[in-house]
Amino acid sequence: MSVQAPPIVETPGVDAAELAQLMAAFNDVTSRLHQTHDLLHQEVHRLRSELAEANDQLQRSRRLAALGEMAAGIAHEVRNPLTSIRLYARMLEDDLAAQPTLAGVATKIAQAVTGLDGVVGDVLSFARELTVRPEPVDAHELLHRALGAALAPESQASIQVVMPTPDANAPCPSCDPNLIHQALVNLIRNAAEAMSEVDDPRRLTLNASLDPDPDRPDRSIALLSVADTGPGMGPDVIDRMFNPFFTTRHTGTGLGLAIVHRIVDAHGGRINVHSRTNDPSAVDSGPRGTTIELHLPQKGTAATERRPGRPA
Amino acid sequence: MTMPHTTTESLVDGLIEQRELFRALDALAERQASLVSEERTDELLVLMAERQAIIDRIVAIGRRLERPLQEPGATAHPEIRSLLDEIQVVARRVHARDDSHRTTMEKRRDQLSAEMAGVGAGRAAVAAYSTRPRETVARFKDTEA
Repeated sequence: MSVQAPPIVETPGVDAAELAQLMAAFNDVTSRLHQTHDLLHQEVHRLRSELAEANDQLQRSRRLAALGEMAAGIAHEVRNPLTSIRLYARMLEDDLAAQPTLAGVATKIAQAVTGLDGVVGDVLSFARELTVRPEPVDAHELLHRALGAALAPESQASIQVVMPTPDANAPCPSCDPNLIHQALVNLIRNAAEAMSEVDDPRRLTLNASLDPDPDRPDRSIALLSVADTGPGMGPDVIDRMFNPFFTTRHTGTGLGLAIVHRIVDAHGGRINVHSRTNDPSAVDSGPRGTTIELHLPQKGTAATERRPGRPA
Repeated sequence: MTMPHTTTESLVDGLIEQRELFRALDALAERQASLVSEERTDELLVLMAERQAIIDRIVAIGRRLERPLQEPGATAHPEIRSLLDEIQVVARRVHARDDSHRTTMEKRRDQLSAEMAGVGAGRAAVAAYSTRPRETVARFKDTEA
């Protein structure tokens, strides 16, 4: 590329200031170009990765929604005949009262149907849409109610339960009492089942508190925890324990903890799991067992989340 | 005060080359706009690489021209002045488009975040399950729910 250029001659009116300005503008052009290009490039990368992530999420949630709909459909279809089978099994039990062996078979049928009904209930719980209806709840009362629903009195007798008594100082977080009740029941049942595998001490510790949110000074965190002295879980189990249909037991659907996760997720909260096994090679030492904490964000500070009329 | 003829020539050549490169960038902006609006980010990255090659050349020429442009009388030369002005105009257009495309993408990302907040459950669940928490803290830490 070549252009015949005339010799340079002085142009009147071009002073030093204008020259400096022209040079600055010229230098600015290239440096700004670099800058805008880099920013644009970074933005393309960010958008690309976020679009990919969003795509994955949408596909995942579509798959989950489809799975949920299908599961709900099957569960409804299965539940109706189950009700009939259980009814007839109970009738047989009554009719066969004089023949204990046969009556025992009918009882086993009824029990198996009850188990199946529980499985169907879990699938329906997992598949259904969750709507959170928050209201101020006495956290200690919530723990007591969940314990009562999760464990029969005879089971409670074989476990040492440590929990705060309902009193005027109980924290009052805002959450959906029915959903959190369900989450706590699932956690307590899991803890009790885990402890059935070990000898004493079998201790179940339930707790509730309201703490400041370290990330948001205008918010607080309601913390509900369920701790057991069971065998603990290894990292592989912990990584998968909230996966739908993941279970380490021979019975159960593996949906209990997945439901807990959905409930906490619907509250915008998070779950922490601490677990220690008897593994002597474990890095951290301490008592064996598992603690699951539900962290539920609260709009006000810890002081404002207490029952009206009570000192904070 | 005058510059040697050869210096003027090479300066003009360099500026013409630079102007053409800026025009090439300007021409890419049209394709860039449609790729941005259609969110074809893979192709955008290819285009970014094309742009990078052009920009590297512009910068190299800019460095080469820096000294001759500072020679007395250089910017007073009518053709050089005119080329510099032209480059400024095209460069401003390129910058303005880049800024506008960047803003479009930023807005789209904001929109995506809002859309994804609604999806919530699946994301938090899967994200939480897939990562292995550190040993020193909670084994499972679902921080995205």
